[in-house]
Amino acid sequence: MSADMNILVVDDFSTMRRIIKNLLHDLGYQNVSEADDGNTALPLLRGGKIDFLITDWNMPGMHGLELLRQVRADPKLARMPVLMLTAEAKREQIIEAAQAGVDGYVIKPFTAVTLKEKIDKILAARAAG
Amino acid sequence: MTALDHQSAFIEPRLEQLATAFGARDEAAFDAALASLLACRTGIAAGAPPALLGDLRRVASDLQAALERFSLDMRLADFARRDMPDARASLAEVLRLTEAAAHRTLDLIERSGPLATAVSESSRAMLQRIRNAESPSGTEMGVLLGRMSNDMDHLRANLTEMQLAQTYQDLSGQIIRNVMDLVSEVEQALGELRRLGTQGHDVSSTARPADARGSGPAVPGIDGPERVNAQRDVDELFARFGM
Repeated sequence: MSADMNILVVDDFSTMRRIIKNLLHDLGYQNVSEADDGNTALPLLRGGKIDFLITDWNMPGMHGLELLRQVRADPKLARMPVLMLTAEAKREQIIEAAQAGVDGYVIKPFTAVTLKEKIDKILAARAAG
Repeated sequence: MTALDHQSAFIEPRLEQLATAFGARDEAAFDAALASLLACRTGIAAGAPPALLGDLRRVASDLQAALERFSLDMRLADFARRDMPDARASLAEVLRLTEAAAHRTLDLIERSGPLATAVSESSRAMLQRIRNAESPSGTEMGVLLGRMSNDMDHLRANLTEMQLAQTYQDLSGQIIRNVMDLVSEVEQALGELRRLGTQGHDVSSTARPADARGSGPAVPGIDGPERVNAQRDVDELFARFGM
């Protein structure tokens, strides 16, 4: 995967989506689309043009953990790299997300450096595997 | 055991007296037995049974509780009809204010970035020319410096606007404080309702059922040690899964 990859950012707060999008642009990723919860994200994911998913957890409609499960359950999406970017920081939640198959977990508030590190780590792991 | 059961020791003999007086067509005895029976029922006869007085006390207590509950119900009705919708609208306004402020700030940041870049690149280009022993003309310098000055003025204005955009904190803070006051009132009312509803009964508090949706950012004083504090704690947890 490269800087041309299509990234979908899912968060119910428009300001957070905007901040993440700007940070991704600064990192060189120009193709960034948005959704405000799992229900609006899934059709975009199933459209087949998304290469990387960054999602919040606590959202109305379909929350992030359920979105992750839906992605992993869909044979066409199961291998999608997923980074969870959320304020949910309980140990059992992090474990639950890991067991559900998330590739990375960043807690809010976060730094641009952390975001870059996690994306790079996921991409490196995918390239190696 | 019903009130009648409690009173049977008093009522039965008087009923028998009433029946006997009726059978004997003894009007005086019938009137006396009836008066005694009615007095017994109202509990004003001498030696009225404690159980009857206990029933009356319970009825009075229930009535008082019902009146209190009615008054509480009226308060809760006001909360439901007026105050809760107002609180919801207030919080929606807080969301709107904070979102508008964040977007405004981001707008200004996005506009300022190119200005700073332009100043940096222009001055770097001119510096390079000077290092290359090229002497820019006075006109060139004038144009460059004029442009840089203009850009910096705009940048300074953007910074001032960013500062002003933070005034949302004051406005939204006042709204949130009003909602907090309302929440305290509702909490108090629910506490009274619980007290009325559970008088004499031992009710243990129930934990809020876990919600897979999540609970949002940590709130100091509420969230306990089950939350991690930093990204490195998350990374350590993840490492256990080979990630």
